[in-house]
Amino acid sequence: MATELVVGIFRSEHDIVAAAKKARAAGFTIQDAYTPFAVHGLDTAMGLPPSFLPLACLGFGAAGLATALSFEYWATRIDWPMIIGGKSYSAIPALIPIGFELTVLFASVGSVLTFLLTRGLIPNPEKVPALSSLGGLNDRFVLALKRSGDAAALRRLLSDAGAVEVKEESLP
Amino acid sequence: MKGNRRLLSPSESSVALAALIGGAALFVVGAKFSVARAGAGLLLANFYFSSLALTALFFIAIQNVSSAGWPALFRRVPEAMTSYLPLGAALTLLTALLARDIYPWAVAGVAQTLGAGKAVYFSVGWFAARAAVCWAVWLAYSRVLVGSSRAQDGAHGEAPRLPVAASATFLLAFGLTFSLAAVDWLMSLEPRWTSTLYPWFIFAGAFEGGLAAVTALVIVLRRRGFFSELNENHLHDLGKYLFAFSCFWMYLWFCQYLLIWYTNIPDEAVHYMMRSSPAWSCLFWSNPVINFIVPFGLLLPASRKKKEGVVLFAALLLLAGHALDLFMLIEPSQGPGPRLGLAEAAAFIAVGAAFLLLLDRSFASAAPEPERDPFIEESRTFAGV
Repeated sequence: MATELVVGIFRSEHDIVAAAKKARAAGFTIQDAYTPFAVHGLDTAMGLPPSFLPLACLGFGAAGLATALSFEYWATRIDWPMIIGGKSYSAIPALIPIGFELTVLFASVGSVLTFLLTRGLIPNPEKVPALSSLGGLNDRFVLALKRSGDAAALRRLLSDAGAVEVKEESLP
Repeated sequence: MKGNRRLLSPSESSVALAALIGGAALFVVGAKFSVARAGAGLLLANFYFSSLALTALFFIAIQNVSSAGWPALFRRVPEAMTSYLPLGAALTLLTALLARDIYPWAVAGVAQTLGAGKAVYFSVGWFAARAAVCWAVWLAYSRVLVGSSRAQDGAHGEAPRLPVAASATFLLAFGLTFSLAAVDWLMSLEPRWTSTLYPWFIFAGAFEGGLAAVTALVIVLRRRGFFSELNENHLHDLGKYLFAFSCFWMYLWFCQYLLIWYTNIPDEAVHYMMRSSPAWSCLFWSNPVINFIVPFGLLLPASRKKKEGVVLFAALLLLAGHALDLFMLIEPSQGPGPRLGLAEAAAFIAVGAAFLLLLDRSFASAAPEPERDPFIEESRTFAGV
């Protein structure tokens, strides 16, 4: 079923943040916002819940650290014990640099891939980004509200908040 | 608007003044017993508070160069911290006068045994000359940067932004002069030992201390009625600064340790042999716990970087950690085990009280918020990153 939307198109990031706050205060449901860059404070203005990405990042980092330390321990103490530079087997300071690097590698690559996969951002030439004709990928800031109840009040709220254009659209 | 325009209440100022006078008197008494210990205590106290004042200036310069708007609201705090610099210069001169009791190389005949280059480098005259160059650069730049901020207050309408070119050249000049200071004032305590990473490491600790001081002061001032527009996003950014530079400090701490541990060359290893000996090892290993492990755990989640109490606690912990870090850099070269006696404590209390009194006076001498700064609105409505 298609989602009926009323979209407001704004010229500046300040306007869209203010409009998102107003729309939420008036009880309307925000479908999404499309902006050319990450707008500071827009997520809280839209009432988005905190992202789970930091937690995923922590998990990937811990997995990276565990991978590095256990492999290094296994390699230098169990599989092929070696004394290097007169240090004991698996001397802890020697394990730290690789542990650090793999923590960073797993955490960063894992977070980026998680973000792309869960947001459906894997590159796909067939797919046209939603509402991209409205300029939200170029120089405009697009706030899409679910069309519900008093559509005239919705349109009025958006134009009062400084929208240069108010349109009705629908998402498949 | 604000009833009390000062950081310290009249009674707190009296306590600080008493601490300054009492501390200075006890320091003189302590110096009668051991000039060496008093000198090392003075070096620690002066380096600690000078590093806070200098990195406060460094903080301002970074914001100017990067056109960062968010800290404009509380920029008068780091500015006020720089008011310690002239006293820091004077106390460095006093350290140079006491050099023979603090630095092994200053004892007659020792410099000649250190090798050809070092024999030239290590003389009290040259030491004082290099310190004079460093202080001349720092004092000149603090005058320019803080002065141009104060001049904004007299402007009609919006004042011009703070000078970017002066800030950028300060960052460069600071990198060179602070490295020189770290080598001269701290590393030369063990003149036979060298580490090319040392100035970086000292800078990391100093900047962490400066950031912690700015953060703690901003929160205390907010609790006393200043900065009513300071919101959780400012705290979040300050928390990020503390977190990032705590990691940076640990990174460099470990870099230096790892290389010396691995190669195990006696000339280099002696630095850590001394510090991990039984007398020192407890303090040595508490250092990374206080300066990295605890702040890392405290400040990791974004939500906690926005909590005033947590950020204040982390900042105070890191301020204590910076003192411990410097203690572990200076004191092991002075004696067989940790000593915290009259001279060391008195020097720290007296210099700290002077730092606070100067800060309080400087903060009260200008508007608490730079009203005419072009970034002030951006800072007041800062919605985070």
